[in-house]
Amino acid sequence: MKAINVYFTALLLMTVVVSCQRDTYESELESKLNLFLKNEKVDYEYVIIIPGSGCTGCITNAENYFLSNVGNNKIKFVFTNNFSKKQLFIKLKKTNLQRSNIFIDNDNYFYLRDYDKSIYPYRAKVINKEIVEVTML
Amino acid sequence: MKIKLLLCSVVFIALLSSCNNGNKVINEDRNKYESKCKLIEFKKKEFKIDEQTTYLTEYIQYVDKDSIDYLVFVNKYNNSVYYYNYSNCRFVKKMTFEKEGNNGVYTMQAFMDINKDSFFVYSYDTKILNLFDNNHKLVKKYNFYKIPEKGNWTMINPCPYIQTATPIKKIGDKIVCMGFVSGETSQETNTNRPVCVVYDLKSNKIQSTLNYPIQYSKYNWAGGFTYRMPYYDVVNRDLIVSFAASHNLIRYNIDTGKSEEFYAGSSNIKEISSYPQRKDSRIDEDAAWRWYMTNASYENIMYDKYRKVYYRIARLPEKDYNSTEKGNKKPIVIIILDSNLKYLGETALPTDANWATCNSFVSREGLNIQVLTDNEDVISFKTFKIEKL
Repeated sequence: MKAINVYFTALLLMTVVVSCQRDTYESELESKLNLFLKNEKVDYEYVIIIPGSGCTGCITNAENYFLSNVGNNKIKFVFTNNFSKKQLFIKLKKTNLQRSNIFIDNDNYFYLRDYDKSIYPYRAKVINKEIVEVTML
Repeated sequence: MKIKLLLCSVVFIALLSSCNNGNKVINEDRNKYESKCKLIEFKKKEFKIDEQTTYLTEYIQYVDKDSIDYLVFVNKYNNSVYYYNYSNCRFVKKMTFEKEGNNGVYTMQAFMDINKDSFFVYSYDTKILNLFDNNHKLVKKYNFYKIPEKGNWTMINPCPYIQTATPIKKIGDKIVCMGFVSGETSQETNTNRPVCVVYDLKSNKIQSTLNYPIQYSKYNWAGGFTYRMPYYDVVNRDLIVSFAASHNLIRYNIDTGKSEEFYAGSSNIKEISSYPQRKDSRIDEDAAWRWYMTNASYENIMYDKYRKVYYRIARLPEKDYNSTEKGNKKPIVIIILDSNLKYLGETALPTDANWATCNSFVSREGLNIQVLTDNEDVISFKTFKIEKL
């Protein structure tokens, strides 16, 4: 009886620990972004990561957000996992994508393929070149 | 005690109804027919495209009305239609349409030329079909969404969505196209959710017609493009319609409104499973895509008037599906049917190419299927011909 109690208590504790753990997608994205920001000369306030495929509606909203805010130099836009670079250039205009606050992630460095969340656009809040918060856009 | 028993029963029933494991549409006629022919690839065609055009266009049509056979496609980003000479793959002309103003059409989705004097441009944003004259002047607008009539609010009329495999067609005085409204509702019956829009140009009347097969109102199909979008082709005054969750094809006559079913399944498909959730429940986009990728389905139906056969595309479940892979890698099988929709055989496409079966069409030379390569400045097709076994 005692052994069963210990077993259940351990199981309960493990469940609590696992459920309280921070989501690894956000933390991995955060560490990659922190490394990336170290080499950036500009103090950005936000980094927006927009994947090329995944949640279609969410990506369209993120692209519209990009088109409205591309002139804001406090925001860094990262385009990752693009099926067609040419389509991206046609859709969002080459002149927009050649601005200094744009990064086209050809090597898919920010595309974390092991996580289902990689299909959604994300926003990272930055203070003094350090990520302080990562949330879905 | 009784209350406890009642509570337990309620919980048990609730659990049972929430764990709907889905239902299966069994391919009962599988392997009943002998294979008499197969498809073989014999040619590759490449059409050079300009800087403003992507090879991922959604609307390509083969036009053989004049002495020249054309490949025509739509570029929605610059609201233009491009004409190429199909035989030598050379660019012929480009027509651009305004988005706003007196001749504005918003973003164009599809195009159809009727004759040298007039052509239609369809916009999904407005659900309007715009008729232009040969001076590029907008002559008339036709509303292609039919609002349900008063007192008939349970009708779910289709929103026309026009793609290569679901084109807009003119049959005499009638314009035909297909579409749907996304979602899964328990209010759906086998008569209140039509997929076809028929616009009579003479009477200016719009009609929503042709319902989904019975399994659609009975089970959940995740409400999106993967299983809800119908595919069709026109033969005389009949529409031959392919539904993703049906092993059969439907032949629908636009004059009589009568429909018949014909078996046109793949011997590689045993069954199609419905989405394992009750209708009316929220559908998770990732889960629905995973279900589609690991489930069998049917797509395009194309009539080959030159060889008097039909081609139907079937997609098999992807065994090693990984949620982060790009595009749709479900194995592809093409079923060949004779002019009476009788099974003639089927061919699996090689798995080492990146096929875009959504852009397939029949030409004088054979069946053309788009293949995506690393070169984004060309639209490439592989052409197949039939070989007897």
